[in-house]
Amino acid sequence: MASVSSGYLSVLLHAHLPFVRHPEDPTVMEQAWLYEAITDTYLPLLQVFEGLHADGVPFRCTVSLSAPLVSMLDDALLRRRYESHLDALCELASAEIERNRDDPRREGLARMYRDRFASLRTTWDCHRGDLVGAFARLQDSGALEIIISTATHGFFPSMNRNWPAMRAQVRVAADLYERRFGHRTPGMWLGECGYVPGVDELLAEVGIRYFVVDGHAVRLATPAPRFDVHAPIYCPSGVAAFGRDRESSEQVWSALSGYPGDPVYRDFYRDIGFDLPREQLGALAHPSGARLYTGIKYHAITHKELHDKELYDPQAARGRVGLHASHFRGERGRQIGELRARYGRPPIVLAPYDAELFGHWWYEGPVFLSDVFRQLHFDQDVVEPLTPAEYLDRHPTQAAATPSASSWGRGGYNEYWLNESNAWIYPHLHRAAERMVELARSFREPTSLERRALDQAARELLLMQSSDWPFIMTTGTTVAYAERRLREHVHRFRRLDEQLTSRTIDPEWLAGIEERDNLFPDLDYRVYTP
Amino acid sequence: MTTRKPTSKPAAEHTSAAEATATDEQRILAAKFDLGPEVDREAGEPLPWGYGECVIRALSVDPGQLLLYWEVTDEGIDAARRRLPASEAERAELCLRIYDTTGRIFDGTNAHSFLDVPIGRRERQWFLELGKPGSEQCAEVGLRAPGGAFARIARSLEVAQPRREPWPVTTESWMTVRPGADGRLEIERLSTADVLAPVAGRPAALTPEEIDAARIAALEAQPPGGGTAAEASHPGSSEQSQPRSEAPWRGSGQA
Repeated sequence: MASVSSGYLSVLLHAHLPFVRHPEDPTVMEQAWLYEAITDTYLPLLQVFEGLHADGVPFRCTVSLSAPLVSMLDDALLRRRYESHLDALCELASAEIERNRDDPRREGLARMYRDRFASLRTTWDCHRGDLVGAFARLQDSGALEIIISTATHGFFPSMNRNWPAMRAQVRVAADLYERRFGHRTPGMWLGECGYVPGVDELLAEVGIRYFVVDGHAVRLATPAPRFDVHAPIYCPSGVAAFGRDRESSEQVWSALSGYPGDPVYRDFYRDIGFDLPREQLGALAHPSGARLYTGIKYHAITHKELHDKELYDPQAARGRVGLHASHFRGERGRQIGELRARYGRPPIVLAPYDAELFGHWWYEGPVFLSDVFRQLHFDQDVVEPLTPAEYLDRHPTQAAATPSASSWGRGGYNEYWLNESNAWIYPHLHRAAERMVELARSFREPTSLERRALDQAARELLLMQSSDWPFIMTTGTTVAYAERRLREHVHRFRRLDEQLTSRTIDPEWLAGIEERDNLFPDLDYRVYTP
Repeated sequence: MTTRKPTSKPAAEHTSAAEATATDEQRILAAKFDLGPEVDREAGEPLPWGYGECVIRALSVDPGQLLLYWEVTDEGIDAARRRLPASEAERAELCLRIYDTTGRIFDGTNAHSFLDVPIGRRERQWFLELGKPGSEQCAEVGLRAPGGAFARIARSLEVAQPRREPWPVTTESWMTVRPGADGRLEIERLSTADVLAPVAGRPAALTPEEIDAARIAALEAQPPGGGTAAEASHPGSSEQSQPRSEAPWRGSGQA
């Protein structure tokens, strides 16, 4: 296919959740983020990729697994809790079959969910709950390219040019990747695609070949690139910046014209977790009485309102998925053909998406991806799926330019993370980052206890830098939790700082927070040494 | 709301359709954190109001807007007041001073211009709409006397504001980058003149792919064990192979 295709499509799925782990309380609601994502997105995507690989379809997709997500998926406690959650889902689905035995359509949907959850359980058990290992095996077999995000998805434009702190976000993630996957990561996902000139130097230091920016970062690069976003640009460091293609993004993200909003697709909001009496939710009823999503939903989108929705018709949805996949494939062929004619060289269309869009938000999304890749393989030869690293291997000569500072947030810059709802956090984040650099400089030969405290201070700093907290404050979803997490990490950091400075470390308290905030077990505080 | 009115109208960077898509995208991204109706929960212990230091920091919000936040201590204010003319010191007021330092190594005196924003003692942050995409800004917090004298209390790092418009001149340069054996990137810098300049017998404009293909052919043409044969001539060129250092597309180059 390489010899006849006109250009390349590079699909990149960025999978990320903030680090949420509460060994002290299994009922913290935000732990459901991970359970939902595994059930709705990560396991279904794994099934799709394994199916494509088994069928000999060379789908060439890139998956970005964020560093916090890798840490959570590898955590034994969280794996056990997820298994309990999945078992509860299976039980609930079985109960729903019984409850709806007089309603054939709803009973059929309940059976669909029971069968689905049983299938997910089988995949989970097949991999012994090691999803990261499963993705790694797909990479090792040549089917996937896996990259990693910055350590806690920190948003670089908000870090006040604290280069040691930004370097730490890069190096901690690069080290984690190498330990987990056995080789260097070819690419790195910057938190929120937040780029400022100079960040590429940090990536080059650890041999990273590419990162992704929003399209305008390339179009506004210095100097202006010849091929718009349809070829990467090399930063002064030699690291390539791939710009997001707007056309392929809008077809998926847009509520007006995008696929996921089709009326026959399953609705996200109408969930039995809100519709049924609590006593019928089994183990999924939250002990506090709060209503949560279960993932069992019986309605199609139908229209924008929450009421009077049609029942979901899986066959109709399946048919629509095929049409949308065909449309997407055709549009990429048209687009790439036009770009090839315009530029005289094979263009690359980089299509990055949040992985959780597929399955969690857009229930049919994983099947859409499967159909797209199958159609690209069997039904045409204009478009070749390719990963960014493979593109660079084939086309190592590219224009040199410095991308514009930017993000993929609304407006294209930093407003989503710097506004009146969240600006109050930055005095604390900036001061903590400055103090961490000073601590790293001060403690050249720490005692073993001091070393543990320093490493934990580094963890607390990384955790407070997660871009998710200010994002949640802006969107207004679980603001109390985001604020509490941020305050806790700031307080823990300050207390560690005081104890280190006064040489009065409380070993029992330290052991407690080491157990709770236990990501990056190999973290070395000296990564903050300037 | 601590925001000043825009002083100039920024050029539209995103189309309305793209803006709508971006809004949808943020809404969908937010869905992965959606657990249903928010319930009342503790938001954690309050954080300190300040850290007892004099500091000001400036962050770019978008090409036209800065976020400035600061902390000043009573001691810092007193020290600044002592540096002002004695006749005016008591009437001096807290003030932000935002310097346009575009293209300069700022030494405190060589800005193109500055903007003063009086502030109250209890104010901590401003969102300032400057309307200067592509500029570099530096902020100070200090005391300004009625006669105009200014005593700095703290200064921020410089902030580079992104542009809203494409770079006006295309002066291209090119690189060939490959991963090295040691994990570092091996970079070869080329200039547009070397890449695309017409040479007798060579096509007027070589694409990067043609350059790569010529290199591969040159490598394959080398005798086993190396030797003196260097880069092959370009496709279609009638020139003989030249030593590596003189190959037409390897000029002095520039990043």
